[in-house]
Amino acid sequence: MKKISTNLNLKKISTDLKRRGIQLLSAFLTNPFIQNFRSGNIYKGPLKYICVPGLNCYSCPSAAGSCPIGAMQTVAGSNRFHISLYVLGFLMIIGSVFGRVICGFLCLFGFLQDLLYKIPAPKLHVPARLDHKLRYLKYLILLFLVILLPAFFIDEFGLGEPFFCKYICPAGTIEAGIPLLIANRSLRQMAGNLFLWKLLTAGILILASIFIYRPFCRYFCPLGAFYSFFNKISIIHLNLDKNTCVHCHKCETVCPMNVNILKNINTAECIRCGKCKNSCPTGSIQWNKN
Amino acid sequence: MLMYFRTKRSRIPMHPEKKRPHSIRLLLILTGCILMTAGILRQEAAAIFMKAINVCFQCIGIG
Repeated sequence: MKKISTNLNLKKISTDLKRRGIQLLSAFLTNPFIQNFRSGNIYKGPLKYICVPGLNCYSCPSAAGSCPIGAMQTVAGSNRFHISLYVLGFLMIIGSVFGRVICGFLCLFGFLQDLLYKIPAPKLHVPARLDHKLRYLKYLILLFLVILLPAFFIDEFGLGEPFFCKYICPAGTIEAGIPLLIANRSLRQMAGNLFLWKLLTAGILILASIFIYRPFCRYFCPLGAFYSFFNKISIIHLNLDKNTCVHCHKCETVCPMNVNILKNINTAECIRCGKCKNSCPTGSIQWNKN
Repeated sequence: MLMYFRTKRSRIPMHPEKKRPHSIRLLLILTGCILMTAGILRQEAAAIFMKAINVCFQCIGIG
């Protein structure tokens, strides 16, 4: 019994390390230009035509590609288009293949929150009722701040603003705003109330991430909201074998997103971190690559 | 037809419930490809590129 427990623990550690490795590799692949943090410049090459699958501000000095949410708002806010077919198509392909595996393995901002949660501190459990209601917020943010407002709340030139990027996105503040202002004196002189607001929201989110697991992914991320529509049908998904499941509920105990796994393992809230699979004593949960 | 084409081993009729997600996935991926192509032809990628190679003042909190 002790040997099985030790084996399971070793397997769990090695699987966790694999996931961390993938997250680190993805972070580096999408942000290879680290030297730009020093110079205060951003990459201006042809890779910026391409969107990365996770939330990653394109004004981040090290960013190689474009943020899909920022790109969606840019196109919607232009005076030529109201909706971005290019980004929508890209997200549909990624979502259909991976679902929210992107959130669990490839998103840089998700990785940042994972690291913050590792800081030793009391961990808070959001009451189920409040948690359930707050999860709808990210869909409202996707619909209004990312899709509708940039397209229809326009100025005299027919241009809309990237509302989510401007007023909410903490990735822009942490990955781009703070490094660029540190490196560029002229930008520092231009910072005003909006920057203070963004600093405040980013600060609250960083703090919350220490006590609550991935609060941004749960309640605010419009990209996660979009991918969640594909969780049920994506090619890569988790499978629960109800014949071998012994209903020990270990999977639900370890699930950091509080998913009711036995009811629906491929629910919209699952970020597919794989912790349930690692904890299952009977191996009833497996990756299914249909 | 597609379900028999996959491997020699798996010539077992697919459960009807499993056929539907498979066709939905294919349809979504195909639709995604068409939308991406349409977006590129509309020069959306160029619009994104022009935004991405300049510092986004709204994104960094300058306004």
